[in-house]
Amino acid sequence: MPLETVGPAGGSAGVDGIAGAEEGAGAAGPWAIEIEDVWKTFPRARRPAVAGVNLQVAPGEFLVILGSSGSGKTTLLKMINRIHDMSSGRILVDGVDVRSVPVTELRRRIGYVIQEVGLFPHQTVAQNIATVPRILGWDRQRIDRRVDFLLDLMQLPPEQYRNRRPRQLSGGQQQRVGIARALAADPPILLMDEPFGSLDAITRASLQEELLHLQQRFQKVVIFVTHDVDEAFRLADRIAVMHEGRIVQCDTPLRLLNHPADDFVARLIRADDVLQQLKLRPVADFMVNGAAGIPDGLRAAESVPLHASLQEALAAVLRSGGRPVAVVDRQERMVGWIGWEQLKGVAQGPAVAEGTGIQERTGSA
Amino acid sequence: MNYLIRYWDRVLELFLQHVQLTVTVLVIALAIALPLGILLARFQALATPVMGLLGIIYTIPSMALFAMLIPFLGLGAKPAVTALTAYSQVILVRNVVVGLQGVDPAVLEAAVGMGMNPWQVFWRVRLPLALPVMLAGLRVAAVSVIAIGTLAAWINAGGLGVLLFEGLYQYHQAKIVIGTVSVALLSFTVNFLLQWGERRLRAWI
Repeated sequence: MPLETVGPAGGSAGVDGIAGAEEGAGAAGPWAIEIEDVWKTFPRARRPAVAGVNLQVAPGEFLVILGSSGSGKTTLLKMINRIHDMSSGRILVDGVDVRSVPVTELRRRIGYVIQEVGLFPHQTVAQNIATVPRILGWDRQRIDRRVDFLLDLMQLPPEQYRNRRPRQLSGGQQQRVGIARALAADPPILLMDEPFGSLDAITRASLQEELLHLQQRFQKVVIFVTHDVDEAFRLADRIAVMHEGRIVQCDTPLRLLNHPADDFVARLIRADDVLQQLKLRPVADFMVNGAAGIPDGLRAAESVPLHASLQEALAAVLRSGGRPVAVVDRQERMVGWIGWEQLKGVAQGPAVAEGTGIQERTGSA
Repeated sequence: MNYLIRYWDRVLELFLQHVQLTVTVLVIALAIALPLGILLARFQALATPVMGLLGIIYTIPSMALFAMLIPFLGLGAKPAVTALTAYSQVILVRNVVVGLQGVDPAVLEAAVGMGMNPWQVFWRVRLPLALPVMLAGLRVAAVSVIAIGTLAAWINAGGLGVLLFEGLYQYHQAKIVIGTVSVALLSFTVNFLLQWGERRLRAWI
């Protein structure tokens, strides 16, 4: 995949790869993860599950591997922490070949979250979260502090949840604990295999939101596998689209939308469907930045979050009777506005769309 | 009733003998079944032939098995313990294997993925989660050892079976009733206690 499109650490990944190119070049030395010509053929399989994948992930990057079932996306993910061993090729984590270090040590430095969560049912929430710190021999006080910090972080009040059993939690709460457990020893890398796949839409949306916030706050490398196109576009700095064991395109969401590499990608993201495009494109890429040139009749009462999709923005504009609406950050501060003129750009094709006020996606971070 | 009042010390002695026989058998049987079950859960290819063999042993009538062992081990507790241990293997081993293999694969994947070594995965995750099923096996094994154990009196191993056999030979109804009630009481108590333990364990897990 072309290196110049790498979107670095929670930065200006949205600027169609251009700003990303400069910063990417600056950080070109140590990649967080490098995957070099990796193949995987399972015993008795007719074709390789992963067929010659090359991929570099920058420090602090949120990379989504998007593909349908059988595309090899999960297999690729699980070769990074050696749940599966590759047939050939090389994977470097922080410049070190994953096969050159003891596998347990490798895994303790990589957070791992799976769809089924896999909490230990015979342990309390606190004991679950303390798993890796205990293996690493942290002292008790440090572990207790860390557990409470993580429970707070995942919006589970410690005094209320510390001593609960996993089965006393809802699915969403279980996955919150799962994420807290993966973050327990503060690993620089987080591998997530469809972590929100079995959650209801509302819970999924709030966990996506929190994960994004978390990732920006702690600058983790997140590699996130999903088959859900909306989810991929909501979360990713870059999306690697996989099909039949290969990466067919790895680009920023915006480039993927504007320049799908082939028919498969175009069909996957439904490039010709305007409503779908509204869902995938973030407000931040189309709004007018700052308070400059606020048109008369702006309905500040109607606002959309910075990372909302254009679909949500359209709904807000419709609700306000066609008048522009404010775009606000997490602290509810107005960072820009969006109206008909900006929304129309999407339907008129990428050239116009890119011409409109494209803004940095994570301006509030 | 008169018999029980007059000979309560003998009944108690036989009762305790029966308990001792049962406990001895279960301790030895567990010492064999646990490692064997762990091995079979690990190496699945071995499971089918070994479980088949244990199944065959289980089908041998107990009187016949006692008789078969006498030429090698003589009369008394030795052949009784050996035979009863052999019988309980099929129940215990199967439950150890099923318990260990029944652990949710996602839980194991999470454990492995977090960097637990195989030893830690086994002791901290797999074994504790398999315990309720293992305990259920122990309960069934205990009850069947208590029942089959009555026949051990036939080869001079003592226990409550002595009362039953005497009652049969002497046409002594009181002995038969007392023997039967005692065995049932023992069996019921053990079953109840282990079931309670199992339920506590499941609640805990």
